[in-house]
Amino acid sequence: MSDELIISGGGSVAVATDEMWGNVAKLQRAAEQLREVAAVLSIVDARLSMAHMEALGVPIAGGHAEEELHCAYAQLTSLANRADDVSALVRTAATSYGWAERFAENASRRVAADAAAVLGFFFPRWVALAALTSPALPVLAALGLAAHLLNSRGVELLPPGLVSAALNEYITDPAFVWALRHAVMSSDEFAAGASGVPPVLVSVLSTAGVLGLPPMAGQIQRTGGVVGILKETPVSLVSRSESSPVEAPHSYEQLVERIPQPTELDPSQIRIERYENAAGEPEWAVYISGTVDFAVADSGEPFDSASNVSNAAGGDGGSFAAVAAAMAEAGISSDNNVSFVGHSQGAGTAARLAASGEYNTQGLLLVGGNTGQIPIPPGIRTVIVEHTDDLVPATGGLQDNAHALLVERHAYENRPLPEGIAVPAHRLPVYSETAQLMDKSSSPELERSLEELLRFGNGSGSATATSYHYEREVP
Amino acid sequence: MISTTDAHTIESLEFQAQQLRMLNERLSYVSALFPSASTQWRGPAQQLFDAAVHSLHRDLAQTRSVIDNAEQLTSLAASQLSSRVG
Repeated sequence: MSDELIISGGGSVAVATDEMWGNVAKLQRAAEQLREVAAVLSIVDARLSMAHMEALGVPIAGGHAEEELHCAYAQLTSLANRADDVSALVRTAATSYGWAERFAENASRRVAADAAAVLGFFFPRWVALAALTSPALPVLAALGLAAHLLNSRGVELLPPGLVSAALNEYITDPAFVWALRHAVMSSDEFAAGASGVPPVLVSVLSTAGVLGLPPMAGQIQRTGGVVGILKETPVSLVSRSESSPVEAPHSYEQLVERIPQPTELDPSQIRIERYENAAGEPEWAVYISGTVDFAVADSGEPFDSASNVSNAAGGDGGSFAAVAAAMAEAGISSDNNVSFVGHSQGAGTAARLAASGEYNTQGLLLVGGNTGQIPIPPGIRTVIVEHTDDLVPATGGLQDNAHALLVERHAYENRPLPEGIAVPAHRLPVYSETAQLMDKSSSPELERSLEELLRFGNGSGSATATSYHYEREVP
Repeated sequence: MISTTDAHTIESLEFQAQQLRMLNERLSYVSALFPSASTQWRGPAQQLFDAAVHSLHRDLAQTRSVIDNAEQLTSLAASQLSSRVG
């Protein structure tokens, strides 16, 4: 498992590893210390000048000491300047890499979008040609349909171990995740091309920002609605726990570990902590779970696939409605300071709540969520954590929230994938390990962001936590 | 018998030696702040970074040695002055 964190964003184009950022900070501290030592040395030296010592008849050794002190002062000043230079060198390298990566990303985004438009434009003819010339395609389509039908009746087409091992290797490859991210970004151009819009016009519309992931997700939702899937319904409160006393979190790991993981015994999807600031005003931390049920229809679970699509489309899905209702139930007003922490769909929902502008959002910690195309207001301190071998964040497209501090990690680098666990890099415990590494990191940006995220709990004498379970109202 | 002037000068020299010892200890902390050779870099950038870091470590060690020498010379001067009979 890789312990290397790649940190970028936070208003800067620089991309660097945790170690590099740590070196920048340490070299700057070293330069400051060297200047302080030089200043003290200068004061010490001034107490006994050469002329003064000669007048006092100090032995020759004292004079030699003075010469050594002058030499040491010059060396300390030079060392301080060079420590600054090396620190700047690392920052320049990180920034140059960031510019190069941003240029490459923009270029590949443009190329992928144009290619998708052309592919989409010729799609119907291409499918017909492939179906006629390759008998494998209809067979594969039939197998897929059979797998779906058999699985829905509890009969397995293939041993799950065989499917998960082969599939996991494939979908956990960072190259696949990267390709998926670009494919998601180009899906709108593909659809526009397939609907007959000339590729040149698609390119113009895409550049103008008319096309994008949210309209595409909205189209999928509307199309799904025609056949009775991905439909949104009202939600209602099923249960609410007793409020219990709680201590404020102190680390990224503690923040991540407070995200609910619903089970049959405790199906709560939302946890709300209430703090009081020094002025006695309430401040809130809202923790939101990930997807509980991947069903696309007839589910009583608001944290389902329909809500995932709603989040992508920019609408108020079941999970959004459930959290908003829980916040109203808790008594959170639009004036109260609130921070959101979410995993997977919970991260997308948190980003949507912050983007809604209905809350006084102070901080966001978004873990493994499809948040790339959700426009988070730049004034909100945001930390986004993504594993490069987790396909879920990739389904949100490229991460366009440049002001957010983005922490990336290849979670299953240099170690085998666990058996029988689909998309293991998406699991909350694996993100919890990454949060541990973030706590150990010497990155000043990570330290600053944690201070901001934990500000709501500072000095709070009494804090309480309450959990909420919501369900969809299935007609 | 040491004259009052010499006594004051000896005190100043001893104070200087003590200050230099403290500064050298502080520089050992600074030395720990300098990075070591990195595995994060590749190619010419790695050579540049490693060379820069190596020279920082080397020159800081040399500076500490100079301050250490100055401290010993200061102590020697104080010792010679205190053995002088006025």
